[in-house]
Amino acid sequence: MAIEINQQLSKENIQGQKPAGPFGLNAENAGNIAMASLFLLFIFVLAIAQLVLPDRQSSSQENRYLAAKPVFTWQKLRNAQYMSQIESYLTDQFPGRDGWVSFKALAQRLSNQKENNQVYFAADGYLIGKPQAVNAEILEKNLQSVTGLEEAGYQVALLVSPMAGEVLRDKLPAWAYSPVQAEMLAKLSREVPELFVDAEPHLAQAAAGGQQVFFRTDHHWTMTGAYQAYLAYMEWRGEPAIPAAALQEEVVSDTFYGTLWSKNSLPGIEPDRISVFQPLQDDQSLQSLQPLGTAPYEVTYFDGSKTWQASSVYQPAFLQEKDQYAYFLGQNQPLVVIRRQGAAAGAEVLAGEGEKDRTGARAQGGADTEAGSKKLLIFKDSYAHAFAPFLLPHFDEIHLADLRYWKQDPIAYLKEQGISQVMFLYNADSFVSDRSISQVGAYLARHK
Amino acid sequence: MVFSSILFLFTFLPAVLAAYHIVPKGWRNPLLFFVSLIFYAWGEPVYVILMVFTTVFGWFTGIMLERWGDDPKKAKGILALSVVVNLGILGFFKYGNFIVANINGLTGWGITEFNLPLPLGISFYTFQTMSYTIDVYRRHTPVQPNVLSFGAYVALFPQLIAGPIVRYNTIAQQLDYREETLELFGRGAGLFTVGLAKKVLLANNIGLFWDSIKALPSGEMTVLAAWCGIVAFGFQLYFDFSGYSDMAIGLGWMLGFHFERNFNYPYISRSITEFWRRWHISLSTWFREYLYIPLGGSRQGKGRTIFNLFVVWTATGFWHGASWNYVLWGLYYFVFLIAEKFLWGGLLERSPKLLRHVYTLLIVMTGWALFVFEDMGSLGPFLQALGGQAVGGWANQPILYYLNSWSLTLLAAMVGITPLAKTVYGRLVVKYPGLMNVMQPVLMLAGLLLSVAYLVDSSYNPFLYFRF
Repeated sequence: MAIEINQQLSKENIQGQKPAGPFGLNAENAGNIAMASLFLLFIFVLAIAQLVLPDRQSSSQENRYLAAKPVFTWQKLRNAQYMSQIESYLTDQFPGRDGWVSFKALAQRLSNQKENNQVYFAADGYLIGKPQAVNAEILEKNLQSVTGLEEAGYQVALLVSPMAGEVLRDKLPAWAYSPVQAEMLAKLSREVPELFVDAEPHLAQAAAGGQQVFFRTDHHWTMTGAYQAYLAYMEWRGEPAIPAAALQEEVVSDTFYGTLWSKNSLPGIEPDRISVFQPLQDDQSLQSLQPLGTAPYEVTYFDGSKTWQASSVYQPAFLQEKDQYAYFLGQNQPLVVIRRQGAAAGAEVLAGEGEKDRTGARAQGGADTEAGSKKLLIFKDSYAHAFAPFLLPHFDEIHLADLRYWKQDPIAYLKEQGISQVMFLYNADSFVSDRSISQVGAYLARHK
Repeated sequence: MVFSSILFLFTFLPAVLAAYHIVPKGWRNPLLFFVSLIFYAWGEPVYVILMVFTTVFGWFTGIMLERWGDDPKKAKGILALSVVVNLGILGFFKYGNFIVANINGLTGWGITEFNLPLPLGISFYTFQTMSYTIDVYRRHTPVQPNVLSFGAYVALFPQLIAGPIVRYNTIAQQLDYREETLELFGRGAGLFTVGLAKKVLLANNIGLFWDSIKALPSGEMTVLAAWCGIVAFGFQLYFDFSGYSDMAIGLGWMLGFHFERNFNYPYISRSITEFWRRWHISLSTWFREYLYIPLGGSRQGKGRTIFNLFVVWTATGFWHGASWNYVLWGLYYFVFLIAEKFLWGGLLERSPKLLRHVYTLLIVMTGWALFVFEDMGSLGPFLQALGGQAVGGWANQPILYYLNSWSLTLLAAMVGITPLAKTVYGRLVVKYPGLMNVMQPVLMLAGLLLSVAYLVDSSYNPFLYFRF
């Protein structure tokens, strides 16, 4: 635009034959000469930096692996795959990438944009993800897995948690709230009223009371939020829950930048705190909640090829890494089993404790007691990780199966392990978009 | 390869600029030809053969015309050969599937479709090659004896993929003699940055707005959303395409070429006739020079003029894509252009300015609906929504959110479609030349930094005119 005027000006300049300074510089063309120099400087400095700087394997800010230098083959050259890989490689390894990404988030914010990469700039320093659109076909199939298991004689609970965009809708930008999750949850409660565990009232009430139920920079609930869902679940079971008064909160990290911040790296957002709930010292009955090694539980992780064991559901090592939420039960693994030590004997211990119960928690009668122990299998996404610890006093074995990665026959597994209680625990985004949940229904059909 | 990519900005461009200024002057055209082939092959490694063939063939028709052109019969034959080969290539690669699908639809023969990917920029380079042969035939331009220089013209990477359609006679002299100066380079860098910012900051972001509206479930489509959506698409297309042209012209200056301008604030037009003098100028000019005027233009009576315009606008529509909606879109303009020429042109000129702007924008924006929906099934409901009949009523919450969130971007776009910034800038340059010498590079740097930030963190960087 402006350039054309300069063009005219410089034509006048040529005709006017003004005296030229060094390099032909004079008052009229100084701007253009400066632009030329600056442009060349800009592209060449970054071009050289790009060549010289070492490649990074991953970006902790974005929480993902970065594209590596592609391997050349003639085949990839012919179908242009090599070229698109080179482009991803250069973009991912661009000098100062993290800074550019944050700068863009800031530019979005300053240009009055209410979102960046599908994440809202919400009130009070919150970043809130846009809810997933419901995929009706997936939702229907997932629901069939739930009802199918119930029809097959299992005791089934369905806990689909609303997310921050629903519970904390007051923090969203104006007109951004969409009732997709509320409508979907209403549909679930309508269609499977007996199985549906409604966590929303508890979460909403706690949020209204000033408790932080979701992280500000991560899409997960906090352990405070998970506790509210636990209350809803225990209500559904008709059993008393561990009262809040018996627990105390301890902050284990105050440097957590979660997945939402990875997508929308706005500078100036405060990091999140991660807290864990522990039983008050004098409460013997809740000893099983004791984290960090003293719990009488054994946690077995299975990653699809090998298993390993830990003595706690908490993994402090992850607090030193980017994905600090993995403090709760590590990263997503196909199968995690939390077992009371000496499980067979354990059932008696729990039954015994139940009678002289101080917290009000009672052993629940049912199919499991016949097998001699109380077992629960949870089909889950990572929301279950902050939730499962609260169940420790109530079960001898808790099996966490992540259907995205677990390739076993779940029905055979339930039979083999003698498990009759099942829970589906997902956040709303997963439940309407994760195709793997329908596997349960598919296996059920095979067993018929 | 596209200009708005990290690869182009920080690998291809520095390498080309360095090589271009290091090699002796005589090697510059061969170098440009060579790097342009790499630029082209980047996305289309196989079709580079087609590109080379078109180039050599085009050059050879020139040579033949030089040798045998004095014989009018032979000259005509050579010209016809050139047109047939170029249109044949275009027809086969761009329209082959469409023609086969339509024949199948009509006859039920079930001929297998070719399913060839569209060669990048084929609509542009075949038109450029034809312009050369026609100009040589008409003796409007001398023959280019050097095949590498001719290759540099056809494949010249700044305008290779999306124009402007450079007619040979406008740069014939520059091919053999051009002057590169640091000052011209600076102006080119400035214009390139303006184009980059138009593409990356405006077109891409407004594209997200339009995509959100297009993706609204039919129950949530409202009248307001349809109008905002189609205006947003009009903005996106303009900033995408004119931004690309700005980048092309700016790169041209960096290399010493002067291309003609391709856009001249089309949305400030006060009639459809004026709009087409301001939108994609190089294409309209091409059709005027090589189709409308040879057909007789407007000099052979009213009936013939209408026929000629009909041919030109069917072709213009069809040029934009192998689908009936583009033909419809071309004919839509044919109707309004005829009407302005013969019916209400005079009335329009006497009307108040504001009314004329509203009239033009309404027609142009509604036209984009024809342009954007290739599938007639979704066009119908959208046109109904534009006409006030939307399932979701007049407005709802999502559109308010989008308008709020994109408010500044849309405002910037509204300013950007007018010459306001240019006028203000021009006055400032006259009034405070010293200050503006400082502001120019500062503004350019700001544009570069922002654009690069959006490119580095971009999952969305489509390029609309890629398909043409």
